[in-house]
Amino acid sequence: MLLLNKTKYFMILSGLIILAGLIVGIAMGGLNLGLDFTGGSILTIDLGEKFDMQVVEQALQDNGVDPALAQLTRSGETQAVIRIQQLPEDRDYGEFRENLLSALEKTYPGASGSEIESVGGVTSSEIVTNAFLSVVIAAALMLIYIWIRFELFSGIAAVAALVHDVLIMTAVMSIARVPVNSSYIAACLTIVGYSINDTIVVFDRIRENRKKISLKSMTPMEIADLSVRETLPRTINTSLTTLVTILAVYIFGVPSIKEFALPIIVGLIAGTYSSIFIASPIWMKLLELKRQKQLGQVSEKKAKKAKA
Amino acid sequence: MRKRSIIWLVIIVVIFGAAVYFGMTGFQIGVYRMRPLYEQVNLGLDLTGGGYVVYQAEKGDLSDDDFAAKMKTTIAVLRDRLDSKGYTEATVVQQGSDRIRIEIPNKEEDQQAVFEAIGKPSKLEFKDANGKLWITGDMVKSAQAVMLSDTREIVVQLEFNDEGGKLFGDMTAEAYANKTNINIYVDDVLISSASVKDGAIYGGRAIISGGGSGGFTQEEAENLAVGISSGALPLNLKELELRTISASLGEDALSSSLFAGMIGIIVLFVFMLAYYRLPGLMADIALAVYMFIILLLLAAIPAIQLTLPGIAGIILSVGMAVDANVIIFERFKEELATGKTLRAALNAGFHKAMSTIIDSNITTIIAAIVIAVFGVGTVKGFGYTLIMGIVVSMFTALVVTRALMKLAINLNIKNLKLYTSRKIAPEKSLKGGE
Repeated sequence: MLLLNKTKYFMILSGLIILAGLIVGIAMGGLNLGLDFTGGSILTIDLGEKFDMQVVEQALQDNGVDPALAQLTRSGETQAVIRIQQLPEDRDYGEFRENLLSALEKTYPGASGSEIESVGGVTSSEIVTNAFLSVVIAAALMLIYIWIRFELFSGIAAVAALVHDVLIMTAVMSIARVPVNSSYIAACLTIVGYSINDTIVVFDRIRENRKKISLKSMTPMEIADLSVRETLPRTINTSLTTLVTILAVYIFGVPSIKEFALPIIVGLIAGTYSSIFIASPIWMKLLELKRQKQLGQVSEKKAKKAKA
Repeated sequence: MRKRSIIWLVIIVVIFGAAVYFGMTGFQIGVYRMRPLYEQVNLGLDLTGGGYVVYQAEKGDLSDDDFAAKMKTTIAVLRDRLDSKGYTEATVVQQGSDRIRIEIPNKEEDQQAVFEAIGKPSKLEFKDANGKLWITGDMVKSAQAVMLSDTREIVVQLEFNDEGGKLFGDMTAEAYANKTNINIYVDDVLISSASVKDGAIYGGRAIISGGGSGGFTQEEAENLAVGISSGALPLNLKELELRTISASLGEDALSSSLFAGMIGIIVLFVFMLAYYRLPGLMADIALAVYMFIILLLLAAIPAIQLTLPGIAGIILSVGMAVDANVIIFERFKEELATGKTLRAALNAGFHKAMSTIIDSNITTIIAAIVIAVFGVGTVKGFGYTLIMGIVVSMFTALVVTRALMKLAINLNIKNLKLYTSRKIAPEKSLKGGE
């Protein structure tokens, strides 16, 4: 039985996950974007004693920030976490922080800033552009490399698998509502680099087998199936070993590393099955289409036969 | 053959063991003392705690060359300012053409102090009684706190550049003629208002004395001098991004990810040993070599900063380093199954795995380079560690594992059960060895 016969089901599964991500994303108003992408400030202020949130709200109000537009949460007994969106263009964050703090110090003399995160609007829009650009550049460079080392169709098939992996990762981030920060882009690029590994190993075997086996005895799809089977122990073992290490990071790590490890875990799984069930079949399909076209040019009769 | 192999094995184990031992404990030769390697690793802000700030410099209508030159001076001034406050471990780097990034590692909990140190640079202005602006901070060459020898009053002494010196002369001449005061503002706050007693002051020097009755304290004067020096920044800076990470959070992040890495790697070692048997053991040794080389590189190259994503990158690259071994061993098993001798199977396995390993690693390096080029801050650190990890893992798989496997075969370990779980016809196993 052909392993790759199941391709259809896996494509449907991938499609469903991506669709679910899209639906959740639309329903919840997009991805759960972190500060890197939205811009704004998160201030953690330690007031030094038990405090009244209304004082904090008042201080914000006095400094020209509508408390209704800010997210205020408590952290422990004495800390207030204030998340605000962009300040008006002409206002300086540094000044705003100082004023806010001195306003709070009037009520709570022990108040001090304990953690500050602040990203300007210019920076965040740059991060988005850079992120998009870097994924596209990485994918383009890989297409070129594979084109040179293999041929064009294999490059297209490999990049299609990469796009699939990134889409699945993004869908899961959307469903799980995990904050998306610039480390997510690093995770995507890692998976782009890693998943292509799997794909190349399979392609390499297909290339080898195509030289060995004549097309008369096996169809391209059968050769692909054989190659996938032959490389299966390696694919599974490597994915498992990598998965084990990154899973340990996810389980024992701090929240900020979990944000990074989760998309990688998802990407590893997506990458493994896309290199088996998506990249190879697409490549073979493209080759078959080309062959049929060539045959069609030789004789229309033969072409009809091939289609049937 | 066998004797030589044993000698080699002993030499390799002794050298590697000694390297690891001295690397971990540090050593001393004469006056030269080497600290343990892990102490020399350059940790990123997310692991030490501390903070960073990114400023955007305003170009205004400066020409490109002028602007580039002023960026350089601005960075130098910021550097001086940090040094004078004792933040010698801080880094100031230019990002792109018009950004400046300052990073301050801080092992204490007090983050506020860090950002007061770099916060917003002071703006110095000299205005006359009508509020007309004469001199700005960028015309000040230097500012320092000094004690006047006669009155023992603590003042801030300024030295102007040529333009500032001339303007100050003109300004004092006018104030003297009109019998008005000169007002000195720092960040729009009036800090000193002085009359001009003895006529115009040319010569490029001025003194700011405190307005209050007691004058400046030493500390006030020093802070003002530093503030003016940075107020003398040639360019206007606007804060774009600022983050602080508390030191305890950084410590947690470091210890928890090291623990996670250890667990992951132990599981990995056991798996390799159980699944691949003797070659698995060789791969485990090669992996240990791999991790040691990575530590060595991290300690030796100060430009590579170990960040939180960087640790994840290294842990991930251990997983990937296994990959090359797995590819080789699977090939090796396939070749063994066709009835080749151990040595022939090993050579064929390495030979056939080579192109796969190189192709798959180059594509990963492409991604890592893109991360290193486009990423900023901690993400960049991740890119570097990933590149390093891939290159070293190729080396350990293709060189170290191979050498160890050859040694094992030369040691005449012929029992095929140690190499593969696949069933092989008994007469074929006799060919093992040579």
